[in-house]
Amino acid sequence: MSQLAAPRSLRPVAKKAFPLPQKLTRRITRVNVVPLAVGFTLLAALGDYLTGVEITFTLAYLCPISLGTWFRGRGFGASLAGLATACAFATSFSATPRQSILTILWNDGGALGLLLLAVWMLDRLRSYLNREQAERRIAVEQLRHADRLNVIGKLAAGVAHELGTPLNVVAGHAELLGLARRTPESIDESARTILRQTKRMAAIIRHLLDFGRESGSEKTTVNLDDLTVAAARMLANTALKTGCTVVVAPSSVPVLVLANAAEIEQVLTNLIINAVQAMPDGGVVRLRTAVEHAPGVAGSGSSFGCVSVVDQGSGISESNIARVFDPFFTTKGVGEGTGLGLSVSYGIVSDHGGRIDVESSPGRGTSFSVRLPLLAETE
Amino acid sequence: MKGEPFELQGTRVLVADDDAAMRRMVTTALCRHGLEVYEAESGEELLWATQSMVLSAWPWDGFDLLITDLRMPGLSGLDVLRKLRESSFTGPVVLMTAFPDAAVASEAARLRSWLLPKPFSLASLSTLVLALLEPSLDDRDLHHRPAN
Repeated sequence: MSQLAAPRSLRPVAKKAFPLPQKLTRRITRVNVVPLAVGFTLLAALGDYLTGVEITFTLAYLCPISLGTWFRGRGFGASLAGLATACAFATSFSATPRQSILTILWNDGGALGLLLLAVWMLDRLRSYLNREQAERRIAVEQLRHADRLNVIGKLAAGVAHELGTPLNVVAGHAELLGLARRTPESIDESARTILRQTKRMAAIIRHLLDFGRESGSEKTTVNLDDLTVAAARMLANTALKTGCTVVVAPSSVPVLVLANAAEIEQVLTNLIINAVQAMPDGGVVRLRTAVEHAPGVAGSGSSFGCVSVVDQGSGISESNIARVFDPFFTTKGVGEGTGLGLSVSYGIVSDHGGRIDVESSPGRGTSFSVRLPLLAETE
Repeated sequence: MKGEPFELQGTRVLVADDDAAMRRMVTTALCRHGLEVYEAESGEELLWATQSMVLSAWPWDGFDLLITDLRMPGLSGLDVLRKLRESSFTGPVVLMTAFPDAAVASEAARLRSWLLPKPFSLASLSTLVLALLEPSLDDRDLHHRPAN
């Protein structure tokens, strides 16, 4: 049916029909594809009717039918193909001079077969792509689920261990209390142990609640310098007991950030306590605040208020440094740390849109830096 | 706990746990049976104690039973156990753990030790320890017996 030697009058139609897939496909959406397809079909049918030449059939009909199949499915595509063939049939039937009816039937039947073949192939391709996409989505969802389970599992293992031991001690002492031949002193001691262990469990639960606490706490404009000085002053005496001095080097300009003062102070306190505990033989904890501009990017969004806490302690080993922010990861002895301090701090800083980094050289010391987005640079 | 079925006097047990309260409790419970109980604060200390006992010229031949926590700073219970088995320690070992997952359980079984899931009752601890110390029992028999 493809009469390649088309008359001159048809060229514009053919030219219009050809670039359609490349130029317009981007603008074709689910919403406008149907009117578009119908419009093209009517246009092509009109062209056929006026000219009686079938070149439009292969060029212009295939486009709307393909689009219809792609976006609306096989049934829609097949209907369009039927409609198009009917139009073609009507056109050639009413044309003068009329070709023999057998020729018309042969041409249109062939055209219908070709169009239906295109519809079928496109439909197969479409459903194949759909299936692929669905499978990928399911795989991604499963991965995400597995990841969540992994985190929950780690947390559960941590909780089981942290609470299991004191629970066991409480249960054991309760059992001991029930035994015969107990001296008053030992009964007293058992009772005191039970009380102590209960307090320990309560502390763990409180930390856990901190860990999973709701974000979006009330934020105000605070000066990081003030918070740093306050935290340092609060811990100075505690630090002195182990021979540590806390030194603050404030920034030359006020470091204003939008933050929850109590939470940021908790972060700083955690970091300072860690620094002090890393130096059991004494040393200096340096606190430094500064305004930092991210290199290469202009604009206020890339400025940070930075507080670094630097100690001269034993440092963190290569294998541990990736895990310092993991819940329940600790190198301290039982009762000294729950392993939640840094992970809580990490959560708080992330909530504020900032980040917390750690650098350490084993044997020489560790440096934790808290970076919070700076308030608009008006000062 | 009267009328022990066999002689426990002079049986030596070493308890290793980084948690002092836990260690004290286990020790107290075991002392009531007339066992000689020693304490270690960490895996390293446990290893040091067992090895120096074996090497020393004391009139004893080490510990009859080791009880250790699984999760300790430094060497974990399993690490200690592996090292012990490498140094051909054949005595019974009990691992206390709050979170006995499949990997730990299979590793513990491979190293011929007994898992004691926390929280456990003192009665079950005593039952297990006494069963392990019973001299007439073959090692293989115990493995077919539930831990508590």
